[in-house]
Amino acid sequence: MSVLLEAKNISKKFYHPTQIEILKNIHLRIEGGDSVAIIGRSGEGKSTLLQIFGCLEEACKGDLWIDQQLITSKNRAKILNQKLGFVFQSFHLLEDYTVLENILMPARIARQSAGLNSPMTKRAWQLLAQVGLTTRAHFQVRLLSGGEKQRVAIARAMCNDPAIIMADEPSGNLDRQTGQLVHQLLLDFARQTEKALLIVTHDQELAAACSRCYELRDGQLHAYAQGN
Amino acid sequence: MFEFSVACKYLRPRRRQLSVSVISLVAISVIAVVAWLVVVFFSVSEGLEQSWIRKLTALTAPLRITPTEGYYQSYYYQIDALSDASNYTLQSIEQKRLSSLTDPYNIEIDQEIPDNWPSADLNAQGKLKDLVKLAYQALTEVNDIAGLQAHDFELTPTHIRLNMIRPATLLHGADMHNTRTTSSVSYPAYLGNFDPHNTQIKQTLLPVEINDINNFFNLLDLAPSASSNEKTTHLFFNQTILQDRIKDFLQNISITHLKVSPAGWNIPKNILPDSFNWKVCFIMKDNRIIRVMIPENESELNSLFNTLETQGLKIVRGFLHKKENAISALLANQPPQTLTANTPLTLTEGGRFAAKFEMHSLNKIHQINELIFQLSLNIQNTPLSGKVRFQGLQIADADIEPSAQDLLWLSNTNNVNNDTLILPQDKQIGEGIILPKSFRTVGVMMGDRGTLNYIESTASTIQEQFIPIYVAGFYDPGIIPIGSKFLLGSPTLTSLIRSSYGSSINEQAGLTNGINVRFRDLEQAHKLKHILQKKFEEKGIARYWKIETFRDYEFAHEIMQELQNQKTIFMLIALIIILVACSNIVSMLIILVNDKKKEIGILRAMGASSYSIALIFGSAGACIGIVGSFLGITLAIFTLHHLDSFLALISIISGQTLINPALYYTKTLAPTLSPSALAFVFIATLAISLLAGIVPAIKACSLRPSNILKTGSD
Repeated sequence: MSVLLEAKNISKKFYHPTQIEILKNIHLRIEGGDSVAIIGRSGEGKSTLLQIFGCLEEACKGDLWIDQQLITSKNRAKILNQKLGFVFQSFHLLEDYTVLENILMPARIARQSAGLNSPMTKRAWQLLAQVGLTTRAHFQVRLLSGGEKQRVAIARAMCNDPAIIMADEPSGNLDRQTGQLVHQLLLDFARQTEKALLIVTHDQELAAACSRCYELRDGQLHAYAQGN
Repeated sequence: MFEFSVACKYLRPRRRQLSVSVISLVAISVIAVVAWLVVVFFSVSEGLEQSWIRKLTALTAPLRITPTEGYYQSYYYQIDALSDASNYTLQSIEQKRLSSLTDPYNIEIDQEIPDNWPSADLNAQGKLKDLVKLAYQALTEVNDIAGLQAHDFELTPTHIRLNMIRPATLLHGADMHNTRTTSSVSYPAYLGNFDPHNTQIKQTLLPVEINDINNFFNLLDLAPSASSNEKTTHLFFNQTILQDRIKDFLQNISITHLKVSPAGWNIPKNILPDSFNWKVCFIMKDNRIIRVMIPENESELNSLFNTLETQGLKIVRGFLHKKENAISALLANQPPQTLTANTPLTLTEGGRFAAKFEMHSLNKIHQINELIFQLSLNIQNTPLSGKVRFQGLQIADADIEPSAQDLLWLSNTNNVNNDTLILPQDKQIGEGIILPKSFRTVGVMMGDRGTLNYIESTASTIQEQFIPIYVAGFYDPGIIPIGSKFLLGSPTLTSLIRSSYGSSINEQAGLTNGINVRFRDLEQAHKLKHILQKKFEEKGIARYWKIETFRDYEFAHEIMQELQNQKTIFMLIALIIILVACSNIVSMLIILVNDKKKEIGILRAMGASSYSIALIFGSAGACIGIVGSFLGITLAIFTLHHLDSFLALISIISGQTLINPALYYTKTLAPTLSPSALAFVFIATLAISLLAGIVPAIKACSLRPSNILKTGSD
């Protein structure tokens, strides 16, 4: 099994307003097919950890390998584009673009052709079918419902065929039924493609559906046994 | 490009980002206005400069070689004054070029050379260097300048006196058509030699006008008078000469239409129709009709009445009636009055009518106004036709034989392919000379006669000499400061007058004699100067000659410099305005960055590099710059195509003439789209708008995506 994410000694301190070490020497290893959930109380630093793993934030200390590449400031943007996909609680879609354009944006950032008959456009249509939004392809995203927006975000995260999808409370803003649909899409991704999924969530049910679960407590990851 | 398409998306006007749209619009319009101003201003001033240079080089030459002080002090120049072979007179450059002797001094017959005489500049063979021939030799050795020609020029001070003899326009004189009035102008002037090889001069010649043709025609019968004062009496040519002159004239110019002269035309009784009823003005004196003024059209009656009344005459409107050979006047509230046979019926100035010259009338004439034309015209819908004398009439239209133009005047309308231009000459009147256009504004016309005067001093007397001349054309001297006094005459005339000044003329300035070098491409002037300088040094004659390109000419330097300064100042102002316009871009981009903070975070989360983000906002700024300058340039090209109507519009709005072309030494502004202005606009706006984009771009790419995206809600 290939190692898709390896974190060693990740630490993070915040200095403002007072000095606080929010993450302490965190180690994590995720392999293909893994789906990892991180739970924890609010303010424990779950999102910060996810953003560090997702290359959006730099750790103060420690090393991070994504798909066996050590993350440096030079390759950060490229890894982010090629190896990672993000799903946020509040969707974070580009409001001025259509559904299809949003899904294709990572490909365009990677300077791939997004023409009418390009392979990337075909792929985008497949992803749209996968998330069940073919009929909404040319809608402006601001016209969509929350659940539809999140499905677009998932399709977008999968656009460049990433190694890992990072999801931060993906169903936090959704009703229960829609949330479950979203969870299913994400879990299917890890299961069917031998890729990995890293989810930060409060949802015990989602955590239970993942292959591994950790609790972030006092700045460290603790294996979290179901039913605790 | 992904960044560019995102930038365009941001710039598209939307209601949601009204402030950004408004500021972008302002920035684009300000840049467009500046670009427009710069392109129009530069194109006009470059067109102006080019037309100046064209005229300058057409009249002088793109390159001039003039003798230095060293030349005039040299043995080579001075020795002619001691030599019998040179007739003991100093020689001009042309005479030196044609002379077979380099050193005309003959120790056997000539007087002894004084002690303080300059020493001879000898070549390697021990012979005197022929400074003029060596200079010409150097010119023939230049082989990579196309169309190179060199001819000497001479310039001399002189005095011009011109008599302007015109048909009298005194309306109420006793014999209004048989008098001519004479006025004269007299100016100190410079005479330059007209170079027959310089076909470029055609560009500066003014076209012949119908007034000029009239003037030539009206003066055909007048012989030059013996005295310079022609005010009192006029001498006429004898009949044979007059007939020849008229024949010559009419061979070249066939008169097709005539019109009434400003003084009016007394309708000869022989062409009056049998019956008519015209609306007319009667000029009254002591209750008698002394003249009937007839407008060509009824509608002009009232304006005629008003004009006559302002002259202080007693005018009555009425009808002129003819029936059964009796002409009677019908005045309001008065019984019809029969007019006496000698009351003049005067047609006032108006339209033109078809005319045909009656050749047989040439046989017995003594004066030009005895010529007879077959005329047909229409007065207030009554047709008239018949043979009339050329009296109170003017030529309105004539066909000019193109091949024969050079006989009377020099004009730019003739065949351009002629290799040489010949200054016309009138064997009875004198030599033709070309005057600057300022003479035309004081009323001089082509054909006017006069004299060039100079003082000749012999051993015993000082005598004023007169050379008869006539005006054979006008030219536009452009920016040459002495242009308004600069006449062009035949080289022999110039030489003759110049030699009367002896050596003193050379002490004034080197400009009075020299070599004009002409060639096709003006851009090569500088290169040619260097080539010649080098060759002159090789031949050891460099210190005797000064080589100048048209840009060095002292008389043109200042005004060219002034134009250049204006351009520089304008460019600075334009730069400042563009800077101000670009400050709009900065504020627009900063607002845009704030507006799009979340999108920046999202793009970063999708892997857009900070460079890409910076590029998005940088190109948004550049986009505004490019659109603005493109708009401005398009507008400028449109304006330049319609410059005249544009200036007229501005003049109407501002109520004063905005740009008077005459002030700029040109008739019309002929702008040429200036490539340097286009380059300046494009580079300046692009560079400044890119610079304007830098600060917001740095701000945009320094935003941390984690901070933006952490804030949960949408």
